[in-house]
Amino acid sequence: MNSRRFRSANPNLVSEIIDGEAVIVNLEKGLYYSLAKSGAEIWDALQAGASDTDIVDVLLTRYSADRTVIEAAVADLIRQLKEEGVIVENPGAAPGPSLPGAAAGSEKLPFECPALQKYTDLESILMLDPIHEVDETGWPSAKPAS
Amino acid sequence: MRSTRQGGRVRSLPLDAPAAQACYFDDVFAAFLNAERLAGSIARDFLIGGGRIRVRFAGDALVSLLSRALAHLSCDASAEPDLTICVWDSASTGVALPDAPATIRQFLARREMSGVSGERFIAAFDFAERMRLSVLYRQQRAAIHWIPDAPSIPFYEQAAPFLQILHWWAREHRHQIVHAAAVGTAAGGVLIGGKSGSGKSTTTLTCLKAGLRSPGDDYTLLCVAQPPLVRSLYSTGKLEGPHLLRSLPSLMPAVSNQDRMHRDKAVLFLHEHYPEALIGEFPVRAVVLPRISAGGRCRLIETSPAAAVAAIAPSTMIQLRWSGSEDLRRIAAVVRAVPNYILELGDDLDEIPVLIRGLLEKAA
Repeated sequence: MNSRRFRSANPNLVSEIIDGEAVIVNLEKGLYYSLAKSGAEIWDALQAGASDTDIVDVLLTRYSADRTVIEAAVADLIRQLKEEGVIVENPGAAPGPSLPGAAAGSEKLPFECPALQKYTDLESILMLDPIHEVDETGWPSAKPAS
Repeated sequence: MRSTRQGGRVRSLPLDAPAAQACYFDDVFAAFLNAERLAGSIARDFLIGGGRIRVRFAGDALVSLLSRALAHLSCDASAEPDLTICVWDSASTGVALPDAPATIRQFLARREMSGVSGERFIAAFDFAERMRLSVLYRQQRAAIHWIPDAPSIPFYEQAAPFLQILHWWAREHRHQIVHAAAVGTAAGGVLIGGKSGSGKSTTTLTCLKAGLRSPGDDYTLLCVAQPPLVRSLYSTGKLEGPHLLRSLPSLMPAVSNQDRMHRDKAVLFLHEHYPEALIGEFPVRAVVLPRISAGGRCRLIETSPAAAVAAIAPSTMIQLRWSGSEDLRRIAAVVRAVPNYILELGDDLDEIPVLIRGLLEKAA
């Protein structure tokens, strides 16, 4: 597995981790997403500049699953986030800070593959605000009814 | 006033962006002063989020349209305002909006004027249905709101006037506008979140009928304090017309736009018909997310703070220009501080206020 780092794809993307769940909002498209449990941990680590291999190593200290299972889960979530236009690869990024692993002696948790929940119910708000033509003065103006 | 046209074409100023912005927004302010000189000045003062907001209208064409939703917060003009919003329209005053140099005629995805969110200015150009300009002059404690003409003001702007300007001003004063309702008593209440059609207004208006009070049904102001407060902003309630007729027919006489309910939501100015139902503020004791269910009884189900943030923050932020990470954090901070519930709306709406009262008693 080649190590890759990522960054937010768009300044109109904002996110917050709330009690272990991530909420990601794409203000430009009117979409938002949520990620729970390991998904929120992966998102948090991606935001901190961790590489995909770093993330797999840390998850292995926290969860009881084979490396291949966790590698596949991390790769799949990253693929979905890229397809959704949430993150892009950031090849020139400096390594992020070390991720904290599980406390010594703590019991490993059962691993559940992260599920990216996508919500599209706000798209219609933006569709009510269509892009209009720009008139000769440079200001937008309503398109004439066709 | 400095001309911005040469030979009938908009000039491209060879200035750096901040200088071009300053010149242009000086021109916009001068245009307002000219409109005010020609049409006369009418001022209205309001107490919003602990601050005094003065709205200065050039002429009378917009006064009732843009002050009705704030009338419950009106106050005398005995003190200097914290913010003065200057408003004019071109049709009634004959004063056009100055043409903009090319450097600021670029718009971002949400109609923000590209680059105009700095130390001196925040601006956005909305063009849903008809265009309108909002600018906050941060260092002058002043703002401009311009629209082409009174008839072009859409119903949702009459229900929530100066939304963008008040959003920018409020967040500099420890407040956050949220797309959320609230009901309760002076001792405390619940913030009600959810997208349009989730049952938010049904929950609010049903609770008001049962004697609870509300600081607002559509947009409210959150004060990030300990405990967090929700404060009144607009007195409006909005409901889908067919739903109102079916579920809450007794409210029909209070609908202000009965002739347009076939295309717009029904708008109620609560202070005009139910002044006792409005309350200035109360502490937030819980967040409730209504959800229309397939029959059965109404019930409360505990949910996560993330679910509450997801129900409130995106719909708020998408409608507020120049919103971003800070807005999300402020909303999350309030939601984290209280318990969060889904309210399943069953067949008998009278159960809703009973559940809310029970929740408030438990949280007290």
